[in-house]
Amino acid sequence: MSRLAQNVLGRFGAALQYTDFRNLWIANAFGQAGAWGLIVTRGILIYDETESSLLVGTATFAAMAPLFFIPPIVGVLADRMDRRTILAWTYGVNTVQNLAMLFLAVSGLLEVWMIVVFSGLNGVARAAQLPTAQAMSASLVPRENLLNALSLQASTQHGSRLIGPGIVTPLVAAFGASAGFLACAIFYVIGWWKVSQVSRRQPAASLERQSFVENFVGGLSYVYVRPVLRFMMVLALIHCGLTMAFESLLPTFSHEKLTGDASGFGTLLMGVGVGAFFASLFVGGIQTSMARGNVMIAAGIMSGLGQVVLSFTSVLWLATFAAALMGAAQAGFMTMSQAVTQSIAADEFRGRVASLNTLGLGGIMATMNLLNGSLADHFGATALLFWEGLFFAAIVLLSLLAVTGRRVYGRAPALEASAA
Amino acid sequence: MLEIDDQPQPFKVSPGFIAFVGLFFLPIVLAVAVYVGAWLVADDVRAAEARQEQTAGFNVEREGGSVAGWKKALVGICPVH
Repeated sequence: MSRLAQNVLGRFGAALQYTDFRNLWIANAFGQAGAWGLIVTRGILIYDETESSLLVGTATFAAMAPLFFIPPIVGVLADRMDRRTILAWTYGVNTVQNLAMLFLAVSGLLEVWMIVVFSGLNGVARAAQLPTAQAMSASLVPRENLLNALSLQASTQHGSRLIGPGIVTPLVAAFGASAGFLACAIFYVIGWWKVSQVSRRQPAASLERQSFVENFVGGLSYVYVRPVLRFMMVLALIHCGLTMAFESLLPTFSHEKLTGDASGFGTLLMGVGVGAFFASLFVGGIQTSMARGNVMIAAGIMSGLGQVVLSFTSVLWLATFAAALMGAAQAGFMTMSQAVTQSIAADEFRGRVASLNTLGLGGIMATMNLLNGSLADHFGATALLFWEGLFFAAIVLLSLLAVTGRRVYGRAPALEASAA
Repeated sequence: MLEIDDQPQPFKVSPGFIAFVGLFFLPIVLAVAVYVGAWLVADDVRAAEARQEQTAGFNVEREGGSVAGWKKALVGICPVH
């Protein structure tokens, strides 16, 4: 390997030197590819059978809905049990449900209601997988490599949206949905195999002496009493609500300003995805606290202003470029916010902190998408993109006035007493 | 690199804590209420729309057996329905 390649890998892939993390990362890559491949396979199959977008939406909703209630349960479990065991189960469940759909599809017994039920099962496993993997990543690398580890996981998440469907779609087109289910099952089996190679870690025994509810409330109070942790999580929540709930706005925006119909929506989403992928990789190479803080401020402001820029564009290629900038800033900001929260949280609380993040962010994005969708009918998608983006950029600037905000951005002296 | 430390404060159940918990959980409750609500009334709305299409100039909201405005609004804001 050339010296340059070694330097690049050493900087942007530093966390991969730890075998346990490397295995988890590979597992995550295959798991995410399987998840997106499955979304495509299900969608094509249901639409071919019924020609109903509503049924496709119902299956996708069944897969998303568990994100609303599974994370609080899994967060506690991830702090009480061996996280590797939980993850292995999620991969196992997803493998089995893919194989079941493969069997039913080949035998001609697969019906739409079954796909919806399996989607729900897939959603439960995925809702358990996401926070557990995030908490686990943080415990497999030293603190100085945490941002790198989470950025690698984030880039996998964004990259898999292209790679998973990129592999599965031609297979489904050539050989039918069965081939898609088989490919996804193989992805999950590889994920399960890599997860099973991660070392086991004993959870804190003290948690088992408390009830499940006490553990859960303990996680909430743990975050609440820590100003930096609380600040970061609330800011991330506002960020998601104001700048990341754009799916319901982009089709209308495309109709209003770009193509005269909603056809620009897919191109804009691709722009967001590509930007997010490269930004996730980029933040993994940040090496100093000051640089991390500066990039975080810039990403926060750009996340808002990217939306403002997008609202002014009226040509598709320029809008796609603005969407890519927006996606890059959003992904960079979110990766760094997760790294901050996970680095502050003690290991026995990481499952609950990650699950609270997953729950809060999922909820605010779902609600804001609903709100944006209905407000766009009255005020127009362009105005909403502009004002929400501007509002968030202002919030980031204002957050610099608070001592806690400056601490998050690495611009205030470190506390003498570290978190308990 | 991530040398951020946090100084925990004493915990008590305060309005701030309740607001904090609400911030994380209320959006989900709201989103689920909209999804489930829209799912429950979607058939009524579609049936009314079908009747409206069959009868030109028929006002769905004023006729007996038509659909209430809130049901149409609920289905309208739900992305799945």
